[in-house]
Amino acid sequence: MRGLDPKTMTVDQLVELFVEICIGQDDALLDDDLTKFRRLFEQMRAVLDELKSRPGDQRTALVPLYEHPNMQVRLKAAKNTLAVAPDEAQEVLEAIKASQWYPQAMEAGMCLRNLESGFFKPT
Amino acid sequence: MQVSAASWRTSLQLHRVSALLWGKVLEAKLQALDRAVKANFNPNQPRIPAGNPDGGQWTRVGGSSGRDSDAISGEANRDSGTDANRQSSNVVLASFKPGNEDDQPPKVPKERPRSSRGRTRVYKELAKWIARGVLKEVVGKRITALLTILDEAGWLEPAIDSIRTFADPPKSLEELQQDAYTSAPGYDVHHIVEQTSAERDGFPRSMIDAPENLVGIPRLKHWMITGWYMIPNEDYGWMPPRQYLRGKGWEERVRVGHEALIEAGVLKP
Repeated sequence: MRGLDPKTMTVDQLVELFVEICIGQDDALLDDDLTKFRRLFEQMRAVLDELKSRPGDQRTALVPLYEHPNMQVRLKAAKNTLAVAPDEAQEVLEAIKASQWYPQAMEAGMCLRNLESGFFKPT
Repeated sequence: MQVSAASWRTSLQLHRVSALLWGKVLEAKLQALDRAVKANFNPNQPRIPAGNPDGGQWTRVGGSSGRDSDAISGEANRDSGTDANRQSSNVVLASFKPGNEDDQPPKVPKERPRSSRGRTRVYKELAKWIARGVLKEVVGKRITALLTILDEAGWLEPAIDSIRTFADPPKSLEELQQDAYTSAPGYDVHHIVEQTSAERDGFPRSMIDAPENLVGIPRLKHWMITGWYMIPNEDYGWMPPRQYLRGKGWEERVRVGHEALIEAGVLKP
């Protein structure tokens, strides 16, 4: 994301960048590359903050990513749309958990537990 | 001690036969489990719609930098001492067919990757591919495929146990605690309450190394859980669960530790 300013990007460009970041996260997880993952996680958060700040909360633009071929993209799209599409996002998390596609299935399962207990309150 | 080539080949063959048998036994157990689940099936459980290649099948079973690479496996190795019932999902992801035979085996290089990270990546991809076969009851087939891959990529041989154990079915807490005292290839001793942060927070070794805090689990699952604790997570205020747990009491750490084992498919819910 070096050189890219989320504030100057269109919603479509932000969604495209979100996908690119999540695919990079997936790669970092396979390589156990924590430094890379943490950097990409912060970049993802900046994209999400920007989408949220746009009129109407444009995180809804991530909903179509529920069917993205990459499981990390699906997982992060679902977790980060829980505030704007709670039922649909939760169903995607259920599906990821059931898929046994690790490590995303584990994170989805933990997220569902945290939602159910009220520990995690998406905003 | 020198081992003759013939002896080594015999040992290798035995290892392969053992792995193959293991896969068949596991598959038989899974089929029995599947029959039991279907005998008590839930009519509301969603199925993949007709027209889909998997139409009519249940979508799920029952409710319910280099230094960094070393950081996860290093922490996990240190840990090992060796190197809610939920509503069924109604979502059918059209492009997603878990365990389907479209789920091709990962590409495995014939030559041994030079870096530890490169090798670990292949181990993990293979292990996860085999484990995904559980949903389709093709674990045995995938173990057989792994043995064929081994013919071309013999460098995988030392990791075969770690790869195959990733698909182990979940066990009870008592079984896992017993396994902590039974050394077996492909398994590690895992601390339910993470030992490093617990020690930093002043918990005594007598609690950290108590039998109830130790479980024997598949090595790559052990690494996966350790990794989950280390990476930032939206649920925990955008910080890693390990950081969230700093300063927390023992009970909260146990709760998170048990849940992580369940969601990793290691501990029975």
